[in-house]
Amino acid sequence: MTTFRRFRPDDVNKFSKCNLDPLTETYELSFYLQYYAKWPSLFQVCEDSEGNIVGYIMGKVESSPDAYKFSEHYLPWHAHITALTVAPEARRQGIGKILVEQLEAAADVHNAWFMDLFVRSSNAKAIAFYKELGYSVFRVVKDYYGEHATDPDKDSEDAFDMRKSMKRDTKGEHVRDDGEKHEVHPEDVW
Amino acid sequence: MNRQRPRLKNGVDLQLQSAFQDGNWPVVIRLAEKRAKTLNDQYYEAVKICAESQLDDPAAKFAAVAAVWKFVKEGSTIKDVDAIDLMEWATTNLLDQDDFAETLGPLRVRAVKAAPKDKVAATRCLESCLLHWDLASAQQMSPQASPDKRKLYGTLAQKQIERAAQATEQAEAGSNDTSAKPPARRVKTEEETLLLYDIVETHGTPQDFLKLISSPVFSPAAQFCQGRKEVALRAIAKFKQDGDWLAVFNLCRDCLSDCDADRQLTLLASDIAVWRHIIDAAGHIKDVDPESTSVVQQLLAKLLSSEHMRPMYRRNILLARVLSVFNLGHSGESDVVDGRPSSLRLRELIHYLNDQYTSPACFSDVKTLMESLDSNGLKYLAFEHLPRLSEGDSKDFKVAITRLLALKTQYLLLTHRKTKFRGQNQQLQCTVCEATVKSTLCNVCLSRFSEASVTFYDSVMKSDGENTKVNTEVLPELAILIAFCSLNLAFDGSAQTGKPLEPQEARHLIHATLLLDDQLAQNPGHSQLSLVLTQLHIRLGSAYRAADIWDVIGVKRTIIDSLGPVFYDRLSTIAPALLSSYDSWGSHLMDLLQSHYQISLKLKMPRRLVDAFESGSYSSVMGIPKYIDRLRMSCTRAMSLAEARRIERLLGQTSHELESDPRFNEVDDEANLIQTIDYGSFPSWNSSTIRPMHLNLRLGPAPSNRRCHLSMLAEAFHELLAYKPPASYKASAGSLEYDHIYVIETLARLSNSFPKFLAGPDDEMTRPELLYFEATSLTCTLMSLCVDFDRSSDSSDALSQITNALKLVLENQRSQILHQRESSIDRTITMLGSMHNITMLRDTTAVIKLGAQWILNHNEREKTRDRSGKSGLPKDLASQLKELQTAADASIKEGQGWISGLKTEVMSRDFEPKLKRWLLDGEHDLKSIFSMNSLPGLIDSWQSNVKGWQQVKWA
Repeated sequence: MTTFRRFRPDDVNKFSKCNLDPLTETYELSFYLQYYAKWPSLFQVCEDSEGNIVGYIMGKVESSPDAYKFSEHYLPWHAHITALTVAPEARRQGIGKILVEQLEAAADVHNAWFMDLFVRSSNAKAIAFYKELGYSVFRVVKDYYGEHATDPDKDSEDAFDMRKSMKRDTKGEHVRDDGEKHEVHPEDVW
Repeated sequence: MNRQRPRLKNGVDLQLQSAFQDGNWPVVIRLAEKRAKTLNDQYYEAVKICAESQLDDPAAKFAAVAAVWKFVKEGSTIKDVDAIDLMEWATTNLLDQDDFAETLGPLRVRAVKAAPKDKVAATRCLESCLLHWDLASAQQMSPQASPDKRKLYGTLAQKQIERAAQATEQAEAGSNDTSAKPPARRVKTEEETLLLYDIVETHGTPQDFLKLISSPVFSPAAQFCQGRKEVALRAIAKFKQDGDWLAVFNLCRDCLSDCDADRQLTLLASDIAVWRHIIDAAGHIKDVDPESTSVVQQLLAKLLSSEHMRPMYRRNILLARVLSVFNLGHSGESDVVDGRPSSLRLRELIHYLNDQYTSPACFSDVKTLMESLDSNGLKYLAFEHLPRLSEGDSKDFKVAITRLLALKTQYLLLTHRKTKFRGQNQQLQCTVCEATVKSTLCNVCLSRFSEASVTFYDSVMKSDGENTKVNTEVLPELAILIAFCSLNLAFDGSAQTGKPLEPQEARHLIHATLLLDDQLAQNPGHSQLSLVLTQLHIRLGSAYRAADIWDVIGVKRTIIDSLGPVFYDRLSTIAPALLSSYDSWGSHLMDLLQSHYQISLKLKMPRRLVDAFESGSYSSVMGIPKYIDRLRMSCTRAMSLAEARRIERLLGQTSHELESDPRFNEVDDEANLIQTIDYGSFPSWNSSTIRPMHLNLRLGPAPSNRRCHLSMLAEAFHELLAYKPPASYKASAGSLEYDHIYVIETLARLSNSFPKFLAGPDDEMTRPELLYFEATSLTCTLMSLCVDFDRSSDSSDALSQITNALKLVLENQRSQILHQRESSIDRTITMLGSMHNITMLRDTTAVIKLGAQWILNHNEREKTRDRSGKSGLPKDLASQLKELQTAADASIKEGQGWISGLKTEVMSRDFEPKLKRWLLDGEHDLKSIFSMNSLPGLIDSWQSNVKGWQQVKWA
């Protein structure tokens, strides 16, 4: 029995179902407040009948600094998924999918060209999840993560920068089919 | 504001810039003075003052503070905002946060008024005022503004935003006219709409609000159908608060009717929160509006016929249908007739269960509904319907999860406390076997249920092949269910928190602990297992193992406020050395608790508030201060101070001055501290007729406003009397007199504050805590009375009564510890679980000893001062005080003896084999499924704690 709504600061007192999961990071209060302050419509939660938060998504809208306007890596006005989490007991019910759709709707209201996110290249589950929602790899950021999630012998891991066009990108100019062949370095990502 | 050294403004010469950056303050002072004279620029004056305040000389240190006060008093204006920024930096930590509104705030207002067109300067000043929550200077509407101004600002804001809203409505009405240009100032975004509602609700009349909710553009239903739920939720909350159920019903109906585009059910139309509101409202108005029930049913039928329904939407709508039957259907009919489901509500619930029984959230979705069935109805579900659904191979995930659901339902039934009347007498009746029972729960049925669960657990564990999902999603919950049976047998339904465990109770708790520890080893980091185990280990006095488990689940930063009390509350009374700041592990654990408040409450308001203003997020502008104020008044924050101080006292470590700690000085007697504990991740399977298990497992009641205040007052008492000046410090006679006055005034303040919080229900603290606080309060009163003692008035009786009361409190405190003379495993286990009570005894003796010694010292001084013999205390009173000291000393000796005896027993080689035999003694349901693999961990934890206790200073 779940319902979706915008985040309120008191929700952090009901985060345990999500944040006690080892895969979910707990940040300083200012991090949550930053999203609540700047992009309140892009911070959505899923609440169960007892008021516990069983899922949330944090997103933002931004573009690269103007100084990089002529760089090939310049990112125009777009939305970004910063964090998406669903409590273990609430998984496989479509909550993650609805949260992403809610964020996409908010991104359209903000007139974003596309939505993007970063995911570990070894995180097959997450990659499949986003692909099912229409996201595709736009570029591979080499050695983006400091350690490898599954292989202890490796000291870094690539990130997939995945994207999906929003309504504004009618011609699909901000996505590509062969993104896995486009490699960039972490310093090209701002 | 910014505690890091700022950069001097552009245009300042390189020589001065680098001296400032290097912190070469004498050079900065010299150069700035020169520049100020040459250039006649106020900025350099400020640089000079700020540099002076960086010198080590205590007098110079306050140069900036003195200058700020002087500017304010003289009405001077510092036009240069960079200079004000410098002053703000130099006065950080020296000027009280609350003084901002009287010092830097007005200076900033003057600077803005002096240069009204300088928007950059104005923004910087506004930002600073907001961060210091000086709304009067920021000229915001707030309680800080005077009432007449508030009204004026309110009216202005309402007029302005209503005009903007009207412009939007007119533009929408004429939207066919493409040539018309939309008005520039209109209410457009969701945030602006929320602000419109906020202002009209706060400053408008009821008619203004009615007008707003009927607007074609801004009505809650119109907003809801645009995907903007917040306005609708706020309007529903307001209508509910006003008791206007018809308005709730109409609004929800409008929202739910318009949102199934193209026969495709949308998220909004299947929103269970709105469905709950409409069903609730229909329940309230069905007598005056009989149609309301059928409107709900028609809406449900329409939505259920939608095509391509997503599983979650379907689940919500199906659940809404069950809810509507439970809330709007006929009441009073039997749920089961002739052994078959009879009532519509039970049939609807079965329909839902048949559809959703494999969902992990199924039990919590319907728990409340199941509880409203009659006992035959619930029994039918628990023992007939659900077991039928779960037939098959228990290694199969679907079968296993359904069997778990059946067991949870049986457990719900078992824990349902039912009473019946026989004649005049009220008796308890088991809901399962219907026998009259003496205890809260039926132990026979509980054991039978436990056996069935153990058999299922055993069969899954022993079956061939591996099903990861069963192992990770079914077994941990099944183990908890079995452990809960054991705990219910220990507590008889509801435990008396704070009472030491009897050996038999402890045995049940250890069985449960070993089983869950085994299961945690299979599923490391499992949150439910970890939380229950943390509580169990703390209850058993095994705090070191609790700390290991706690560390793995990683409770830190933002969630520490809502989860911290689960682990930290009273931890200092169980295992003070565990959290020692002299130990890296201990200081890491304490840092996790304390740093959240240091970081999040560094400024009166976080910088994010300025972000919210800049981003036009008006609801966040309101929400952030509300949350920050609450965080400042959090019981967990106060608890973090009380725990830290007690540890330092117990271990004889030095502490910072209590008065300088914001957790202390921001909380006066009038402050209402708020408790927030997130129990959401704890298994909540008990029937609502008995206490939830997580409350039974607590060592005592959760932190409350009263207990936190009392704890802080008690710490203030200890600091006052235990303070010893450094050996090198030679106090003058004059300063001794001031010290004495300070002690007397503080005692008077404490004597006045204690009774305010001592009065209240007993269930907000443990009995030993209450005794300790009473002893501290009595000691304060005794000390104050002894100082003012006047032989001519007959107050010695009152003093005798207080000393006698203190003796009784001490005796009572001793009796809270279940000590047996003879050494036995029973005694060891009981003592290990009595650490909280031992600490409270230790603290009570410390208070009494400190108080009595202070009075006797004071008496000696008085006798020396006035040799007439008229000023001192009567001899019998002095001897009573000495007796009190002797009694306290005896208790200390006894306590030390318990700890040293405990050390001998727990560290001995035969402790483990003796404990094993004791654990396996007699018949126990869990014997077949728990291993002794986790026992060494538990013993290690006890040993570490007993060793740690050797560091405790008793007197």
